[in-house]
Amino acid sequence: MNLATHLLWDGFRNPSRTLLRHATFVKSIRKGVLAASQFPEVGGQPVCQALDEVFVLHARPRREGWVPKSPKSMTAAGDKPAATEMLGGAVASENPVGYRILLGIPRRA
Amino acid sequence: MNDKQGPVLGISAFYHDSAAAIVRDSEIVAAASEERFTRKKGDASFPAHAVAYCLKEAGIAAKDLACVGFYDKPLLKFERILETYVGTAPKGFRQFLMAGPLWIKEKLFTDRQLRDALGYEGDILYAEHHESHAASAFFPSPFEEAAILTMDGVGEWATASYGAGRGNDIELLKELFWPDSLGLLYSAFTYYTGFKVNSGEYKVMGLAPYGEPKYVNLIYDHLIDLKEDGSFRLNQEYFDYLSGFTMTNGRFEKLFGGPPRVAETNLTQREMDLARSVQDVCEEVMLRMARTVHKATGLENLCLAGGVALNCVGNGRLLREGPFKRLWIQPAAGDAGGALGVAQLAWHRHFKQPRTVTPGKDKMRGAYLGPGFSETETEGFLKAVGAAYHRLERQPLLEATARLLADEKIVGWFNGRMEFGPRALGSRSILGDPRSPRMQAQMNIKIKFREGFRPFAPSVLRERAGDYFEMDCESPYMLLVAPVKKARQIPMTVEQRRLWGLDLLNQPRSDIPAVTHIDYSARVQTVSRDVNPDYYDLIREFEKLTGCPVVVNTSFNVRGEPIVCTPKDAHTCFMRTHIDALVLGPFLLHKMEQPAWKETQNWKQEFQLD
Repeated sequence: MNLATHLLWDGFRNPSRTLLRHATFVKSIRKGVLAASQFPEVGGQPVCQALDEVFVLHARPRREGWVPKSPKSMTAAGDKPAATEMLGGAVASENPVGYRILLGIPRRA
Repeated sequence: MNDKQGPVLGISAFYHDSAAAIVRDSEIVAAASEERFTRKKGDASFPAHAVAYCLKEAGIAAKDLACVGFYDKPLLKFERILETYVGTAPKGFRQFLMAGPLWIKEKLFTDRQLRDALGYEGDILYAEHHESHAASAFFPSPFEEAAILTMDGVGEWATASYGAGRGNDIELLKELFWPDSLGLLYSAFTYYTGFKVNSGEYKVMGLAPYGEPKYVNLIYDHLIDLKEDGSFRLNQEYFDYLSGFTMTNGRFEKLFGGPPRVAETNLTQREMDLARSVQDVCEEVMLRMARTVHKATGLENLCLAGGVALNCVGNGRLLREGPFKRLWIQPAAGDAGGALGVAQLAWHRHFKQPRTVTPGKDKMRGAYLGPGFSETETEGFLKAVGAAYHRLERQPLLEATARLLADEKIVGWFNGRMEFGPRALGSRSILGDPRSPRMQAQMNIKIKFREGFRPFAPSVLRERAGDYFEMDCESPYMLLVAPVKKARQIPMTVEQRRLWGLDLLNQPRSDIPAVTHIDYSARVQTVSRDVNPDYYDLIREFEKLTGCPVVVNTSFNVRGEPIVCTPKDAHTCFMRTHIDALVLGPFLLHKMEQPAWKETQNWKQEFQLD
């Protein structure tokens, strides 16, 4: 299901909730980015260059039952976690909803 | 130093039960919870005092550390929180407004916080929350290989996980994911029965035997879809923890026929039945999970950690009815233990250091990993406060203390290094005579100032445990519940059988009534001489006087207060309560000899009720 289909389907089922949900979400993201921009320089870099740790935010389907664990991981500070780790073990193709939002979080100092 | 063989510091912080632990040469040098130093129960702040203590105990500075480990991954946790807000929007917006800025301004920058607080420039490693729990369960265990099961409220995404440990590494195979959480199901009932979430769960467990499992079917029909493999789906229509400020919602209240009990109001049969019902469900989930883990790993030993592993009634059933031959449970099974877990994970996995196992003997040193105080320090304190005390040699001190206990006196026992984990294990304990039918009420009301239904636990000489309890294994950390031996039980009379709820209290159930719960169970601590010789010999002296190798052991604190850490904490608790005598290292203090205790403020307001 792509984003348009999802929005249509969700909107058809509950129009007011869908509108509110997406409005709130967009506002939240804006707030997050604004907050991130309060740090003009992080780790000695301008914040725009430091946005190399990126959240891939999913409308993820609920994962039920015993789910296989992603490969063992122990990350050091500054290491960019692997995509699978960032997603808690899920890979992008597991997301049938289809929309994803990129939210920049400044690199950890 | 700062090489790969250097010591490793583990830290858990910023959620609840902050703690620090240090590992060197595969040995746990020190571990302590921050709450014991700050005197704030469940303190979640950066564990500055615990870190300072651990470094001091190891005789090093932060710059000497090979690395610092943090017990979870803040970025993944933040991802879960954001996605939950998105998934429930706009409902959780108020919650987001409260939590969001804190995350964006502070919690995402854990690295910087750790470095600033420690003055440390070396490596910082992050393990996943349940990996830290799993590591704390397996690495100190007495097993060369074992299955591992972790269960708690939630870490980053996982709420439970299982896998196996072999040699010097662990591998987690599968996880259960948020929002399906056994810990949160139990916490929902903790909230609903009027207790505090994250600390009142053990009260629900203690209340359960007073009730009937009347609501079990309702829970299965509406709240939890439990699968044969122990996985489950919680019906979020009845819970509020995804987007609200409470655990349960109006629909939950409608299902169980009323609003949550207001804290500190009278307990009714309903709360007891609810407690019993959720306890039964919890045990069933634990058993099914254990069977799945056994099937998946084919191993005979099981290691447990995570907050749910503090459910000693469930642990007892796992041992008796589960598929594993042996069980080992991390005594600091909650989040504090994560500090120890990540330190050990860094030591063994990251630095590839070998792990040695002594069969039958774990690496926890009896959990006596906290601060200890010298005779000079203790006497200096006693002189400073003008306390009346007697210094005794070891044997006369043990004999005098045993005599006091045999005379039904209540004794504060402060000896050696403080325990790591929520249980007092004979280092920071209040002791009593288990044979006394009055002891439970007296200790609950006059000493602990807590609810009268709360049971007390027995400490029993290891080799005599089988004479008193239906168990043939060690339980050094008071994490297993076992029935009192049939021959020692006092059957209920016809009149007693007609009683319900709290009316069942104060009816002697065995020849050790103070530690026998109303269902004839006891949360047993077995005491071995090689682990705690002073405590062992004290119980032995008590046995010589009375023939009973058991004492009542409850934590040295009052309700809402963290367990005492220093001689000052112990002396203050002793003077504020009706404890008859205090043993502080080699010093014995009798209450009747003490100068009058004066406090300008009402000390009972000092601690928030738990």
